Amino acid sequence: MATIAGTLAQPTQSGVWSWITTVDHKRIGVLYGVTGFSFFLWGGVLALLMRTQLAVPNGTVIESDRFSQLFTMHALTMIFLAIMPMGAGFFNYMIPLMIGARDVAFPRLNALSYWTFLGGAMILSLSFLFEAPGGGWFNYAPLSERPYSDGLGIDFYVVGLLTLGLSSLMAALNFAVTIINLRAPGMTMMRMPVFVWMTFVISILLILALPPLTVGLIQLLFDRQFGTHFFIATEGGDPLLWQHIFWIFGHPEVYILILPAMGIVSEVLPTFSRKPLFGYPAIVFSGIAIGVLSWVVWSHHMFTTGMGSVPRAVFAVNTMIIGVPTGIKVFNWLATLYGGSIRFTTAMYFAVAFIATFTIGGISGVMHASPPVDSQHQDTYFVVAHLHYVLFGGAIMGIFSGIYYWFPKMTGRFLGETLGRWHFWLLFIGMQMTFFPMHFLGIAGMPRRIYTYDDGLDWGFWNMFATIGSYVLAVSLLFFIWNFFRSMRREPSAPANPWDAPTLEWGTSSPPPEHDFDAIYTVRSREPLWYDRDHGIAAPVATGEHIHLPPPSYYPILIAIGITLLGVGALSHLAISALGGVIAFYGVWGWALEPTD
Amino acid sequence: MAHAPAVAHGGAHVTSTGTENRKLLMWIFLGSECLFFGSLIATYLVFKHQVIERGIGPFPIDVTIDGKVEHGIFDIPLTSTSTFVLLMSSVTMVLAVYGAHQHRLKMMKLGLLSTMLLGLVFLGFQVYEFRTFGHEGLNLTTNMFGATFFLLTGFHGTHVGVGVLYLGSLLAASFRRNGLGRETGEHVEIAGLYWHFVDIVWIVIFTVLYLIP
Amino acid sequence: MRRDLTLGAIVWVAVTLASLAVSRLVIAEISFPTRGAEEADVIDEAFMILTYLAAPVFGIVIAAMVVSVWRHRVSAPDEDGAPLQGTGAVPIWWLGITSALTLLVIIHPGLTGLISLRNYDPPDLQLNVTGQMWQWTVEYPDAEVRIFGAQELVLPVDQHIQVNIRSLDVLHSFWVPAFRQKIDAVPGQTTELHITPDRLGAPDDVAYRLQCAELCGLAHSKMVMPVRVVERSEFEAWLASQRQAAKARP
Repeated sequence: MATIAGTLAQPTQSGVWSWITTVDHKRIGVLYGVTGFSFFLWGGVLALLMRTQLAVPNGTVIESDRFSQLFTMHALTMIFLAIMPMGAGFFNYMIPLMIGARDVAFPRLNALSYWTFLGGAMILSLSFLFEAPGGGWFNYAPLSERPYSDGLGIDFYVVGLLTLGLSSLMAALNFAVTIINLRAPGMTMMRMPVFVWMTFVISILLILALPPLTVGLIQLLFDRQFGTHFFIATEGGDPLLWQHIFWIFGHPEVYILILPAMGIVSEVLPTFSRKPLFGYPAIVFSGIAIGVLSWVVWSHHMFTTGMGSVPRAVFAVNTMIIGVPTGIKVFNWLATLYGGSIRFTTAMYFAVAFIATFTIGGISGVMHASPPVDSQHQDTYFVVAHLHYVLFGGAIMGIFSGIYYWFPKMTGRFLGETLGRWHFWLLFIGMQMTFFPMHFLGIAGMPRRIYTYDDGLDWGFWNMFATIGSYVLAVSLLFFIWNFFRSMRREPSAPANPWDAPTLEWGTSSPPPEHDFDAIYTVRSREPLWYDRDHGIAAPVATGEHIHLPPPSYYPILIAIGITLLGVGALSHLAISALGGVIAFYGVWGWALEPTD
Repeated sequence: MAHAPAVAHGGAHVTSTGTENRKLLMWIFLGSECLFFGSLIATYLVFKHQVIERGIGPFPIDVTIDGKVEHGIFDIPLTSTSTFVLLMSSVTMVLAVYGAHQHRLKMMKLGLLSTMLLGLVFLGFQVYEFRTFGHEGLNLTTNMFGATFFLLTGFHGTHVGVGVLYLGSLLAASFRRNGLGRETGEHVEIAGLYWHFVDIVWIVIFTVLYLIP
Repeated sequence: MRRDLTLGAIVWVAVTLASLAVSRLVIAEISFPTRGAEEADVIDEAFMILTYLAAPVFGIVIAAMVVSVWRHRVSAPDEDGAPLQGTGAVPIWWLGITSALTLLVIIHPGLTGLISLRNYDPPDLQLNVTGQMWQWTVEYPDAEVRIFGAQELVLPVDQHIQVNIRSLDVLHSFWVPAFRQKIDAVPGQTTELHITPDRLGAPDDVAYRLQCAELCGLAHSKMVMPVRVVERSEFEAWLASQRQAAKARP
C-alpha cells in the first residue's frame, strides 16, 4: 500500500507512546485481545488452584476464605476481564473492517473504553494484595453487607464492577452507533455479516443491562458506606431485591458472553464450507429473539428462593422458549456444513466442536429450567458443569476459532496448523474431562462453592478425574502460546484473503493499512467478495484523494487514569478521589477542545 | 440501493442513516438512562407500602398509626413550583436550540444562560427540600422511604447539575473567537436532548412519588 | 444423499443409544443419591425424562455433523459447495419438532411437576428450621422442643412434614439430597418446604444429610449435619427424651 502512504494524515507510528495515544481501532482491538487473553490465563491459574484443592477429599492446599476468593475472582476474571474483552478485541478490530468503514464512530471514546477497562481490571485484580472479594460473582446480599463482610473485598468488587461497567457502556454505545451509521454503500442491515449483527445485539443488551447493575452496585455501596439498608431485612430492606437486580443484568450478560462466539462461528463455517450461511435471516432473527427473551428469564436463577408457583411457571416457560431460537441456530450451522466442500483448518475444528459442546450446555440449560429439577440441582456442580459447557465449550471455543481464523488478517502470519491440532485436541479432551464429570458430581449431590468435602461422600474419583482434565487443559494452552510466538517470529506471508472468505475484512491487505481500505467497497451481496469474484468485479481502486485519520490523543488515557483514581480513592482516601476527579475533569475539558480535523 | 454514500473522507457528517453520530450516541445513551432511572423508581415502589407497614416514619403521605395521624412529609405546592421552574427551563432550552440553528447567537446564549439559571433554581429548591426533610428527621438511614427517595432524587439532581455544567461549558465555549464552530446547531441540539430528557424524568418522578398516593 | 442418510441414521442411533446408556447406568444407577421421600419421584422422573429426550436431540446434532464432515471433507477445495438455501421441508420439520419438544417439556415435566409438588393437605408435623452462621436451630413447635445448634435432624417416616425455614443472618439453603428439594433460608422471610419421607434413613447414608446449599461465609462447606428418619414411635420417644434433656438443663 506504499502508493498511497503519502496521502496518510500521519505516518505510521511505533513505540510505546504510540500505543498509549492510539485511537486506531485495530490497535485498540489488539490491546483488548492481548489483555483479555492474559487475564484468561490468570483466571485459569485461579481455576487450577481450586481444582488442586478439590482433587482429593479433605484437601489441605487452600483455606476456606482463600477458596471463596478464588472462585469469586475466577468468575469475575473470566467473565469481565477475559471473555468480554476478548470479544471486544474482535469487535474493535473486525467491525469497522467488516462493514467497510475506516474506523469506529468515536475513535477517542474507543480508546477511553479500553483504558477505563484496564483501570477497572487492575482495581479488581490487585484486590488480591489486600483482600479479594469472596462473596461469589453474584455477591448475594446480605453476606456482602458490612456486618458479614467487613473487609475491603466487597468494596473492591463494587468499585471494580462500576468502573468496568462504565467502560462497557462506552464501548457498547460506540459500537451501536458505528454499526448503525458507518456501513459502506450497499451494506444494508440484512447484508451485514452475522458477527456484526451479534455485536449489535450485544451492544444493545449491554446498554440496557448495565444500568440496573449500576443501580444495584450503588445501593450496595450506600449500604456499606452510608448506612442505608437496601438489602438488610432486619432494617426494612430486602435481600431478594439484590438478586432481582443482579439477574436482570446477569441473564442478558450470559448472552453478552455467548453471542460473540455464535457470531464468530457463523463467519467461520461458511468460509471453510465454501458456501453461504444457511438461513441467514433465521440466524439473525433468532439472535435478536435470544436477546429479547434474555430480559424475561432472570428469575430462573431464583427458583429456590421461595417464589410462588405461578412466577416459577412463567419464568420456566420463558426460559425453555429460548431453546427454540437456539435450536434454529444449531440447525442452520449444521445445514451450512452439509454439502459444503469442507476444509478442516484449526479454526474449523473449534467451530465444529463449538456446536457439539454448546449443544450439551444448551440441553443441560433446558433441564434446570424445569423448576422441579432445579430444586435438586440449583447450587450443585450440575450447574457448574452447565455454565462451563456454555462459557468454555461455547464462548471460549468460539473465541479460539476466531483467533485462528483472523490471525492472518491481524498479523499477516498464519498460526501453525500442526500445533493448532495439538492445541485443539488437548483442549477438547481436557475440557470434556474437566467438566463432564461435574454433571455426575452435581447429580450425586456435591454443592458448589465448598472448599473441601468428606471422604465418605464418594466424590473423590470424579473430582480427581476433573482435576487431571484441568491440567490437560492447561497444557493445551501452552501449545497455543508456543504456536503464537513461533508464528510471530516468522516473516509475514499471508495474502489479503488466504481462506477465500466472503466478507469485507478480507478485502484489504493482511494486516490492513492504518486507514483500513485504500478505497471503500460498494456492497452488492451478503457475501461481497464472493459476489465480486463470481461477477468479475475488480476491487475498488484508490483515487489518491486525501484520507483523513483522527490524530492520536493522550486525553483518553488521562481521563481513564482520573476515573481509576476516583475508584481507588473510594477504597482508600478521598483525597485520591479528589485528585482523580480533577484529572478526569481536566481530561474531559482538553478532549472537548482538542481539534480532531 | 438507496444508500447514503459512506465515509469516503472519514468525515463526521455523512452516515448510513443520515443522523449525525453524536446525536445518535446521545439518543442511545438516553435509552440507557431510562433503565437507570427505571431501576431507581422500581426500587422506590418496591418499598413504598412496606415503609408504611413497618410504621417507622417520616412517611411520604399522611398515615394513621394507632389512631394517631402522622402527617406526610411531601410539600406538594413547593415541589409543584420547582417542577414548574424545571419545565420552563425546557422552554428556554428550545429557544437556545432554535437560536443555534438559526445562527442567532445572542438568542442562543441567552437561552443557554436562562436554562442554566432555571436549572440552578431547581437545584436550590431541592437543597431546601432535602434540608427540610432532614430537620423533620428523614435521612438516608431513617427508613427505606428515606433511602430510596434520596437516592432517586439525588441522582436526578446530579443529572441536573451535570446538565448545568454541560450547558455552561457550551456557553463558555461560545464566547471563543470561533464560537462553537461550524457545528453550533448540532452541539446545542444534542445538549438539548439531554436537558429535555432530564426534565421528562422529573415529570415521571414527580408523578410517581408526589402525586400518586 | 442415500449414503448420507444411512450414515446419519447409524450415527444417530449409536449416539442416542450411548447417551441413553450413560443416562441409565451412570446417572440413574450410580449417581442419584438414595431416594428418600415421596416428592423425590416427581423430581427424579422429571430429570430422567429430560435426559432421555436429550439423547436423541444430541444424537441428531452429532449425526448431522459427522455426515457433513466425513462425506464432504476436501483437502484442497477448488469448487464451492452447493449453496443450500432455506427452503424445503427440513427446516420446517426441525422448527416443528424443536417447538413441539419444548412445549412438551414445558408441560411435562415442567408444569405438571410444579403442580404435583404443591401439597395442600394439612401437614402431620410442623418443623421450624432456622439457619445461622453456621448451624441450624431445629424446633418442633407442637412438641415444644427446640434444639439450638442441632447435631442431627430427626424426622418421622411416612409423615407429611411442613418445614418452615428462616434465617437469622445471611442466606442459607435447606437441602437434604435424599428428599431432592431445596429451598433458601431468606432473612426476613419464612420459606416453606413440604416433604414426606417414606424410607428409614440409615445414619451412614450420605444422602441423608442436611447441607447448606447457599454460600454463607467461612464455614459454609462445613454446615452439614446428618438426617435420621425413624419410625413414628421412635420419633415420639426421641422427642420425649429431648424434652427431658431440656428440663434437666438449668
